[in-house]
Amino acid sequence: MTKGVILFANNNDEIDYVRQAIFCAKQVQKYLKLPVSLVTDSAEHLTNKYPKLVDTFDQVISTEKIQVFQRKTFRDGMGKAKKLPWNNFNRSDAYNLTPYDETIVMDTDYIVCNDNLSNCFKLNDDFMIWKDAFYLNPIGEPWEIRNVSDVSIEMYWATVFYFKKNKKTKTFFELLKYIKDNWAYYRWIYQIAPVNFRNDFAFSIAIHIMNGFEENTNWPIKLPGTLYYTYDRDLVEDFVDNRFTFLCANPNEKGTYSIATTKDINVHIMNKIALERLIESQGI
Amino acid sequence: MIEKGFLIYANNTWKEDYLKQAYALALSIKLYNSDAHITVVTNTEPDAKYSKVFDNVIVKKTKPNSLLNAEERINAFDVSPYLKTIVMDADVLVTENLNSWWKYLKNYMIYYASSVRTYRDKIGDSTAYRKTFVQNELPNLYNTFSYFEKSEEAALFYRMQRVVIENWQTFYKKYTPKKQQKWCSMDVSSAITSKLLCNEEQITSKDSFINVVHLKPKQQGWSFRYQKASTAVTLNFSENNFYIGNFKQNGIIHYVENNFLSDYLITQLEEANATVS
Repeated sequence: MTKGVILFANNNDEIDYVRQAIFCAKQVQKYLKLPVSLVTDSAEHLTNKYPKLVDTFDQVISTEKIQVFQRKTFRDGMGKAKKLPWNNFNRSDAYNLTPYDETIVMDTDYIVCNDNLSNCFKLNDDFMIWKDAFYLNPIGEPWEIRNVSDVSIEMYWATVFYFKKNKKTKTFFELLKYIKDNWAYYRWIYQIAPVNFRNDFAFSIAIHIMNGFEENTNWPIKLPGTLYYTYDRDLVEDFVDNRFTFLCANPNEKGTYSIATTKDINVHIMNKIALERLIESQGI
Repeated sequence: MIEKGFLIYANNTWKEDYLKQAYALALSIKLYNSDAHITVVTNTEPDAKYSKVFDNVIVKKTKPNSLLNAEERINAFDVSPYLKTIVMDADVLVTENLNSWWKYLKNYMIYYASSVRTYRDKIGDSTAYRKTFVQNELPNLYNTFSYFEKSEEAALFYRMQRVVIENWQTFYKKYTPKKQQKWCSMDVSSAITSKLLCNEEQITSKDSFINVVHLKPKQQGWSFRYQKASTAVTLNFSENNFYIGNFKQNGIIHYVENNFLSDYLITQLEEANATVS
């Protein structure tokens, strides 16, 4: 059984997901000791801009560049937000695109700092994903997300997930693709307010359907460890000796931040602009 | 005497068509429990369509003399033609076969549901609607679903309940001094009866699988304060399953708001029943 990690990186005009993927892959290799493949519509950018780093990846799987109409708000702390094109559409192709039998898929803004996720391969389950996530902001509860909407299903985080190829996971990804292709319908059925297609929501819906429209089931199981995240209103200040320093926005007092630090903990950093600055400071 | 059956009270008021609700409930019972025997006690002569689904219709021309017409239900024990009776509110739907429920209820002479679930199958926080019970330390009983077996024990309970209901103002003043309800409620009256007989442990179990999906809005765990649950979620029926807000339902649903019971839903239940029979 082959094992590995795949990352998706579809650049827009301002966010260099490929560079994030390089940084992310280096962390994966350091702590999980796994090959990392990149699925990207920006393969040319990789070879042109980072020729010496192409070898970071086990395989580069090039996908067609599609015209993207949906735009996402990208914040950089409490400053001005930008609306940029957001291509998150090929996550449901992970089953067909992965070169591995057992795969961990992760966002490029998920930074691995320990080997917890290696335990996926020791368990006998075919699909693992986190439902609960913990916001690192010590006073950040107002921005926590538990459900896809107030009255709807619990939200699973497609930020990181593990799957083993089999009939059930194949069906899951086919269903996921169906949900993506009929997003307007499923969004309405599940009473989701945001118009944009979001993988977290699509995964949550697919899991709900696979479980016979019920919650409190034993599939899928949670990934080993815990999903910690900082929001795009927070800033990444530093990353030294596997220790992150964040400035977390105070939701009650605009423009003020409180410090949070983590050591040897994997973190999903949603402020991609701040992450870019950090990666640049790391010499990539 | 018939061994077991369902008893539904459906006394129409100027405001609510409880007989229509009872009809929908009976359709849902028969869909999953084709051998079920159902009695409806009503103040309105049902038409031929409604009569068809009930095995026994008892028409009693009563005039409601309280907000919830609770007084009428004190006769359930005497009126029931069954040795073992499940009594349900009319605004309830059954979503599954209840054989395992009957089996479980064999352990009891009287039983009341005492916990509620949300439509998302989470334990519901009923305290918002149960202040009288909490503050006066009353057993948290729901008449939405109750059961009795004709027995000395049950006869004593219902005799006592009759005394409480016929003198509800006196009993409520003494046993519910805090957050006292201003109308005669079957739930409060049954709880006082149980407290007087010290039999809570013999007539309910909080950990039992017998509970009710209760659709009152404040106990659904929503952040937004919906005044009506029917403005937040819909109740649908598809391929012999009930769904609320796209969640498949199990057990029994106490939908409370009449808006949930659409004519289309009733038609679907009729069609599903026609297929079964």
